[in-house]
Amino acid sequence: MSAIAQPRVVRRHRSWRKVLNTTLLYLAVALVICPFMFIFVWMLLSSFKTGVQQTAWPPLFIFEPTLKNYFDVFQRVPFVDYAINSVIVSVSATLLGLVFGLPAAYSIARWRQSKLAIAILTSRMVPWISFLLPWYLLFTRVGWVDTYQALILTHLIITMPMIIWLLIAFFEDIPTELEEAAMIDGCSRLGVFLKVSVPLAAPGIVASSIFSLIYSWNNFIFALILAGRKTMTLPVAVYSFMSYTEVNWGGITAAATLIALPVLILTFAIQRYLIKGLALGGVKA
Amino acid sequence: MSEHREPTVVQKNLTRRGFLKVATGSSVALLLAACAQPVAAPTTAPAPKATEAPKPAATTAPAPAATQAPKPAATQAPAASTGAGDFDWKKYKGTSLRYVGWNDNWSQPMTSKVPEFEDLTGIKLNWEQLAQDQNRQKVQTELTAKNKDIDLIYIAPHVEGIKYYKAGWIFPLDEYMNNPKMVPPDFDMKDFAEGMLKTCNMLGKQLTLPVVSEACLFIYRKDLFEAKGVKPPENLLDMPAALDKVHSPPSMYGWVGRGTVTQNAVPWSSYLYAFGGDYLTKDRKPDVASDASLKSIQFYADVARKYGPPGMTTMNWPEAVAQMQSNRAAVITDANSFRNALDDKEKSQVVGKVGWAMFPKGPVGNTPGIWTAGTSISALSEKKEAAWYFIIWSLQKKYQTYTHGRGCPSSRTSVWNSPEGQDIRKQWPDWADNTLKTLQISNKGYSPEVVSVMEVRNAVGELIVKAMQGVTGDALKAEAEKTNKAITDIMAKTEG
Repeated sequence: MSAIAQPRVVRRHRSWRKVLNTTLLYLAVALVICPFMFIFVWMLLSSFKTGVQQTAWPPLFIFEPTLKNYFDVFQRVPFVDYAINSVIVSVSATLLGLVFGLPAAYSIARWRQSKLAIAILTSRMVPWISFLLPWYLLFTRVGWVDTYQALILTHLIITMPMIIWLLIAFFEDIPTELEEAAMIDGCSRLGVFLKVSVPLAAPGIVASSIFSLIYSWNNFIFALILAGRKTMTLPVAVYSFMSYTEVNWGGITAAATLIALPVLILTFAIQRYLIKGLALGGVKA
Repeated sequence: MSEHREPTVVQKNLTRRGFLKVATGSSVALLLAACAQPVAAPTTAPAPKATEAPKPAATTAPAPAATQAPKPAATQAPAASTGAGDFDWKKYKGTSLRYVGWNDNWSQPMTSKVPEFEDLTGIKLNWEQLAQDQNRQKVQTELTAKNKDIDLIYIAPHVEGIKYYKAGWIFPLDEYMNNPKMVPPDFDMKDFAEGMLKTCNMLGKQLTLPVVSEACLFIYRKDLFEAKGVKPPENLLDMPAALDKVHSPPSMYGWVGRGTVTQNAVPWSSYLYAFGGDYLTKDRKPDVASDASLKSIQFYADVARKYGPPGMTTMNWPEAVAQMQSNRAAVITDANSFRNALDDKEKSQVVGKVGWAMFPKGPVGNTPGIWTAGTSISALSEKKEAAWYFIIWSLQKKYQTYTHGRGCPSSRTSVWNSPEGQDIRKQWPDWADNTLKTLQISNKGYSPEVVSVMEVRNAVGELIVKAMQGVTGDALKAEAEKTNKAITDIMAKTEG
């Protein structure tokens, strides 16, 4: 034992500092995370509270939980139908966003079309509510109100700019030498894009998909105006617990928790890509 | 890390020309947004111009629909019942109606009765229920786009009545109401509280029929008042003295109410009328800088500052009611319909301890604010008669009794006197008596009778918040003059 212990002492000296550094780091992280987590935890707690517990003062952290709010959610709104609609709309909008966004981002990155990039960003900056009336008129004309295609098309305004802007940086990072090498070997431009660049940008694609999925999943205003009974999406469920003379916090938080859950699970599952995607997209690696 | 700092191509360009472009781009965007605003939330008069303004954004919009001048009164004469017979519930069998409504305490219980309507009339009803703000967004967008699909909408005449009517969206009910063939013989139109019926009549047109009777009451903690030997004040000027007795912060605040900009004018209106003021003068000029108005603002703000909990200037009704529910405030002067929230064991800690008194008489006036809402027929609907059938069906005595029993105070006098109504009177005698009394003495709404109620209410709301923050005396008067000017501008823009 002692024979092995000797070198360890030296290492221990170093690891002391390391431990201290890590502790401080985690402490700082915890400090930053706290406010965000608190909101989430509070939502979760509230979803298990009765009406009286909601407004209790001082706020309750330990209480007898109730599942009533969750039953209410399923009773008051066709939650499963809405969930299916939400999945159809946000997944299709994200996929379609990738189909159009990937080539767009690639071309912007390779041919430095910054004007185009800014034009796309502008569409993202305009308050969405200003699109709604023209869209509504358009979709009434072609009879698309309360259809999936109308919702999916409008959700492209959420997903596409996000995908394009995140991916521009990814494509810029891919050394042109790689592409040139492929072309010398007889690959076409399209071939280079599909076989070299897109696979290399995979982490970025995953990250931007998740982001656009989340934004599309949470969008309320488009569905409010353009969806009807058949295609209504999930965020509407939250609002059904707000009415004149009554705000049912239990129902709201239960619905919000249920809506956040799939996104949360998805995010955790693909967290690795997400962090990489953020780091790469924000600052050129 | 430092060697990675080289900015991306796009960022590089952003520094010079790019920046200018972003700036231009965003100003164009803002411009578009600004143009489109009146459409998304049409604050402007219904003139065709208003719908044409946002053309850049709506180039694809088909012209005929957008330019067609809206006609307030329905163009198509309702096909008066041809049969010489009596009222026939089955007359519009096979029609289907779309109703975009609220999810309030009238609509929610009524949903369960829809099958009865469908059985009786053979009309199919699709009733979409949304929270009020979301409802307004949806209805305004769809009707601006001249959507004929909506047959029925839910309106609060004091909020959107004039605006929707002037936009050509509401088909007045007068014609059907006064046609004996369109009203079931046992309907009894005279049964509605007169003041309530009147508040649904704007610009000489019956825009809707009242489904609820809301009145501003002095809602107080009976137990606390009794323990201190105080009675609810009969005169408004005695209110602070009464509040003093029950005020013991931080565990119990004497008074709570709506303080936030968008909402404070609602309960304040009762104070305004009590001091003899009004939003507008007789010739429709804004009048919030009058002596009476300034006194009422000062009074409201003083009460809020002295007896209200912290954060009064951001408090909306849900927060205010929560203070009462959780045993932290003793008085709120607000709607009788809060009974549901305050006297329900599942939501409130003070069940059975809440008293309902008349809103105190003011030094000059005594007209506490009242409010109602109801179903209106869309002027664009092609099934107006069938839509009327729903309105008349839903307001029959038995359904008014049903919703009355579920905490939505009825606007029919007979309902209050029915056996079920008597039960409620026995359970909440002061609530029932004082609601009825208020309805007898008042037909004044919470809000000014203008096209853009919300904008005007917000302008006044900002003034009230300033007073709550301590602006007083001449400074307050100067602010009030500014508010008057702002309201003049809003009215000039929206009423033409």
